[in-house]
Amino acid sequence: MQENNCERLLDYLNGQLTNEESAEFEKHLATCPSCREELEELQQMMEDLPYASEAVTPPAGMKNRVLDHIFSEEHGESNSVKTVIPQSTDTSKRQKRRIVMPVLAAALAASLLGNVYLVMNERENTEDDIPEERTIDLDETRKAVDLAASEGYEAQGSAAIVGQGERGELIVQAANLEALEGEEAYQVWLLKDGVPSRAGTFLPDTEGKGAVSFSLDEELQDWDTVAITKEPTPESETPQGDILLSAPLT
Amino acid sequence: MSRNDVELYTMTQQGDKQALETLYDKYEKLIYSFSFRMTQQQEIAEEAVQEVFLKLWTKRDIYSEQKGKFSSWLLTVTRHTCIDLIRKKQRAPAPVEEKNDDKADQDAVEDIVEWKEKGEILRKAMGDLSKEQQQIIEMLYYKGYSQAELSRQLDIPLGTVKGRVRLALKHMKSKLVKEKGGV
Repeated sequence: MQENNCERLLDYLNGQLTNEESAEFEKHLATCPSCREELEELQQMMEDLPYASEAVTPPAGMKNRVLDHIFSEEHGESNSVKTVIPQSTDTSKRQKRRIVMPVLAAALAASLLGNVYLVMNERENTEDDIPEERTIDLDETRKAVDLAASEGYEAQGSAAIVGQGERGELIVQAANLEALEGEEAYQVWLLKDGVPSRAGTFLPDTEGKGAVSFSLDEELQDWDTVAITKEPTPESETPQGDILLSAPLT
Repeated sequence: MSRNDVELYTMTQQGDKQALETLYDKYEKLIYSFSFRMTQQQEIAEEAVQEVFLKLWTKRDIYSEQKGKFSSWLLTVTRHTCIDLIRKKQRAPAPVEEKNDDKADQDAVEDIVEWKEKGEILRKAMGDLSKEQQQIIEMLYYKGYSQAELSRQLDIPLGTVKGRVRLALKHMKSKLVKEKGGV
C-alpha cells in the first residue's frame, strides 16, 4: 500500500487528511525516504509564498473584535484581571455577553479592578451563589461620582459607570467599611424614583476596603441614585439595612 | 528590549494577554493579508485571523521550536485554517488572479522583514510563470484543492498532479533565485 500512501503527500501538506489519516501518513513518512525528501522540498519551496500576498488593510475594529472573542475563551492558567459578578437576575443573558480588557485599560479602572481581584481572591466563594469570572473592557467613563456617607457612618466610596455602546458596567469601590458578621454582605443598589434594584454584592477585605463591578446590559436606564447598604444576607431583594453611602447620578 | 516570538509565545501559553496582543500586533497585517489572498473575502479573512489567534490562546503547546521558525509555523496554521474555511464555505469556481491594488498598503509591511524584502520579488517571480503553472500553485497552495480535485479540474491523471505542482514550485524558486541574484 506504499503507493497509496505516497499519493497522500499533497493532501497531507494541505492539512486535508483526517487525524487518523495524518497519523498513518506520518508513520509512512518514517519508512519512506523519498516522501520525506519530497515533503521537505515542497515545504521549503512553499515557505515564502505567504509573503507574496499584497498588504491589505484589515477592516476597522478587527483587532478589538478578534481579541474580544479570544479573551472570552478560557485559558487554562490565565492570570488575567478578573472580576466577579454576583449572581442576580438573568444569568442566561449575562452568559451570552463577554467583554474584554485590553491591555491599555484606563489607570483609574485598573486600580478599581485590582481591588476587586484582591478582594475576591482572598475570599473563597462561600456564598451559595457562585460568581462567574470574566474579563472586561473599559473604554468610556460615562459617570463617575464620589459617594457620600450617611450620618453616623465613616465609610468612603466612589462609583463609576463605564462601558461602550449598549453595554455598561457599574463599578463601585468603598473603604472604611465595618467588618461583617455571619452572612452579612454589602449590597450596591441603583435607584430610580425611589425603587431600588440590586447592583452588586461584595465583601470587604480585612482593612474594610471593597469593590464590585456589575453589568448593566439590560438595565441601561436613567438611574438617579447609587447607594450601598449592609444586608443581613447577600440575597436581599430590597434593602433591609440603612444606607451607608450614596450619591445622585443625575 | 523587545521579546522574540518564541518568548512571546511562551508567555501567551502562561496566559499573558499582553504577550498575545504583542504577537497579534506584529502579525495582524501579514496574517490578514495572507488570509485575504487565500479567501478573497474580508469576512472570511477576519474569521481566519480570529481562529489562528484563538488557537494560540486556547490550545496548549501547539508550537515548539522543533516545528521550525515561529512565523513560518504561524503561516502554515493560517494556510490550513483558510483552507478549512474555504472548504466550509462554498468553493468558488476555478480562480483567476485578482489584483487588489486599491487596497494595497505597504506601510505596515515594514515590520516584517521577510515580507518587505521578498514580497515584490515573489510576486514578480509568480507573474513570470506560465499561466498553467500559476494556476496550479493558486489551486493547490492558495485554494487548498486536494490532489483528486486538481486532477479533475486540470484534467490530468492523479499520478501526475504532484509532479506538476513540484515543477511549478521549482520553476518559481529558480526565478526567485535569479531575481535575488540580479538585485
